[in-house]
Amino acid sequence: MPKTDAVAGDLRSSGLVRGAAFEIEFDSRPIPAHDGETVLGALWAAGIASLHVTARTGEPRGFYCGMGACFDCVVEIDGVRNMRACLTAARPGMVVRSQKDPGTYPAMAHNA
Amino acid sequence: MSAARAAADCGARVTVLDEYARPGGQYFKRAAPAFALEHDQLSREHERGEAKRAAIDDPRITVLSAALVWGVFDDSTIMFQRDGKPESLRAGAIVLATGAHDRPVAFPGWTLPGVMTAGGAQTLAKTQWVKPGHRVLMAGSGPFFLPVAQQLVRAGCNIVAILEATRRTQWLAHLPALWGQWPRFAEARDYLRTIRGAGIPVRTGYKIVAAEGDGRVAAARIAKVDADWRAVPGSHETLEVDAIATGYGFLPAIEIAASMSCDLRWDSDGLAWFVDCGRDMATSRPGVFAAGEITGIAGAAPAIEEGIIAGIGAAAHAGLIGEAEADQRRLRPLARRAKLDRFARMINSLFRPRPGLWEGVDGDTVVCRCEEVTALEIRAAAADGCVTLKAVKDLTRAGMGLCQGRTCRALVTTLIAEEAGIDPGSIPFPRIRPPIKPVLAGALAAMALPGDTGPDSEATG
Repeated sequence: MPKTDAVAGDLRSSGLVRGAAFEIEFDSRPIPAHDGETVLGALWAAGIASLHVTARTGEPRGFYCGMGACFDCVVEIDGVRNMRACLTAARPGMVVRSQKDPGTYPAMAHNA
Repeated sequence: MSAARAAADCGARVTVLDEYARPGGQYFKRAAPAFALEHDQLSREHERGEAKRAAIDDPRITVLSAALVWGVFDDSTIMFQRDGKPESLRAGAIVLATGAHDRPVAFPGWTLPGVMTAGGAQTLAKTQWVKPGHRVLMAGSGPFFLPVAQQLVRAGCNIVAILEATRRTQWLAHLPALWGQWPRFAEARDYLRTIRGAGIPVRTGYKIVAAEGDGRVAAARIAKVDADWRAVPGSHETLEVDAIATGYGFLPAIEIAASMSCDLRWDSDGLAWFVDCGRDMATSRPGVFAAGEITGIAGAAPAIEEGIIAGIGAAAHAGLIGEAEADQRRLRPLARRAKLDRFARMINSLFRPRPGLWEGVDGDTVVCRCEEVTALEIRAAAADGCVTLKAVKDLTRAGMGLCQGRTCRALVTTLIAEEAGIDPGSIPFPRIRPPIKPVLAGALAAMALPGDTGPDSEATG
């Protein structure tokens, strides 16, 4: 039987027991997470849609393949850039920061 | 997992290098043990997955999880990264079972947060029990939407519609291949029961045309399609959604095999290169075997049989059993696989991508997501004479980003083929050089090389 929806806004499914609750940090904000969740799971559940901003056009990106192939969900985790949020387990006290990719592009003309 | 078990059964010592947190790949993925799920929340394949994981819990089999293989040298030395540290392993024989990922499908707005592959939606819902969005549209072709939709419903999702690009009339010619495939019917009935029970409309002969939104998806443009999946003028509709999951088939992850110079073969239904194997699942490289989606998109059941066959071949190559015994052991999995293959071929033919799938890939629609190279730039490069992936990459940067072309390669191939008027199979798969996925430079720097002495040397392997 499908379980009823949880609190409006939180995209977590209700009706199941998750692992132990803790917090991770995303761009200096506390984000709820649970043992067994990935960084992507915790961020997406909290309604965070933009994990990184692209270099050339500054567009927000969330995730695409969800399984480690596309590298759309890259974030900085505990100081290491280009970590795939979809594959990285959330851990208590993790410091996650959104990436704005480095500026090799501003010097390039955008051909159109 | 089945290859490891089969090889161990022949007396081999087996190491499984798995990029994921726990074995099972995509098909047998599961939520972390920390989640306490009730019985009706477990998928059909959960028990089988647990049984397979238990079967490789064996003193002869070592499973190294979260191990990123980045290169294989001399058909025997495997370089990988684990926990940020470099490691290596020498093997007497290798089985590659690197799986597949959803076919990336481009359309205006496809890079908006909230547009994802069906596999991505499934992973989020199945392993995280997090919904992709409050109102989800599924668009694709083929039976993969069935288990994904069931999982999303179980996770409490509101699926506003499922769009299947083929029309029912196109299914009739393929019905004979369903004969004898009764387990598939039972499976499909189970999924359809969930979908009907949730009141989800399934619209055949429809596709996704565009995603709209500012900062994230807010709406989907859809349209009716003809037999070639081209949008029928005047049939467009706009649906309010905050997540779009596309499922238009799969592309095999053949990068390791290609970097080892294994022979590849082009499949014109799947529009992809696969690892070319004999019946014994041997590749063209000595002692290297392949199994599962990298030899052909066929799903879990044939993959399991191929794994067994490959494991037997690997053990024979390593000298653990003789050829006669290997032939004997291969008989039953070969027979099972032959029966399953007919169904897989039918699915791949019926639901193959039609040209209309990339009719909207034009103008400033992004094709290379990592480097933000547009369709216009790629089509212009192709029209200008860049008819290989390398030439397009050199000119436009498409394929130079973090994903190393995994997402855009197939799309760029179809665009080159269209612009240059050539068969996509005539565009060679690019030369792949290690590292086949990004690794930490510090990890490479820390590696001990033959002849290293001094305090910074570390033993590897």
